[in-house]
Amino acid sequence: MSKKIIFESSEGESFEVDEAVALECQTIKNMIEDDCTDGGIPLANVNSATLTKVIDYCKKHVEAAAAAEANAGDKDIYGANKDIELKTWDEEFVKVDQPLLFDLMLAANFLIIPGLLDLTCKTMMRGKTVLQIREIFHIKKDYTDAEEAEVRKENAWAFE
Amino acid sequence: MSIAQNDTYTKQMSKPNAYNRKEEKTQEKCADVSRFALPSLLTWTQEERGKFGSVLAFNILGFCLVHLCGYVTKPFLFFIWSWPLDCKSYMDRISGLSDELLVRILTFIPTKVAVSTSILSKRWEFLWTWVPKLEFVDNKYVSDLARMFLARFLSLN
Repeated sequence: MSKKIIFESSEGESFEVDEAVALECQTIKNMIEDDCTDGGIPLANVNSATLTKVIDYCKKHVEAAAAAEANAGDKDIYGANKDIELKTWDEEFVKVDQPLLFDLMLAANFLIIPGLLDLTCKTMMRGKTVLQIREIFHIKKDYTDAEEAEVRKENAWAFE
Repeated sequence: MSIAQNDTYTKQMSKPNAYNRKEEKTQEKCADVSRFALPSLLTWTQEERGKFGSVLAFNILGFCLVHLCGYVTKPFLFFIWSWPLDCKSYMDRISGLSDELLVRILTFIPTKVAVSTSILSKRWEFLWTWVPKLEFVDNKYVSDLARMFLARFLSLN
């Protein structure tokens, strides 16, 4: 049986995962290598809901990698199908509300999970106009009218 | 006022002896209540009434409405007031991210949108200039503005 790693969310909830799953996170990988994971790893800035999702993601990708490896010998259409299946799974995975997506991105950044970080960053502003971005993220304009006009002039192409 | 008066009348009927005192008291009360509002409205000239009457009526109506409906509407008002506050705590979390993370986000959107984020706020003004790629839809027609932008972009990088 493989070694287990225990994560502790900001709410103090414990999550037990296989070492292989935890190794998906570069930060945790470094900790495991330094052998300082005994007694659980407290993740003070990751809440339970986010951590559950992160673990789901890591699990899925470990499984997918294992499956890909098993099929590596006879790489054919089937292997490609797997890849598409994982992509679809990823797409479904990030269909969450904005705050959770945001938390997922922060967690991926903190735990260093490159795949998840790219996935969340990609989804964050995809298909949105600048007006929608301002609205969704509540970004307040701090330009004066003159300054705004200047910025518009500087980057006129983007606003044409 | 009318309720108070009715009350007095019934009392008057049942207890004729106490009648005088009661009526005096009620009248006092009425005068007190209506000192600002009604008598002045009655003693005003037609002109004055026209001028201030409607305003006053609205004030009284508004006052009553606020106090009567207050208990019903308060939770809703509270909700409406507190909602933007909730947003505030979450407000602009994105601008607080590191440059690195924001540039990464901008990398995944079309260059044109990325450049237009410069209009969001000062925090965003030059972020797009760090985006390491250029996703440019190649139309047959490239506008002068786009040409100018390309020239500037290439000189920046």
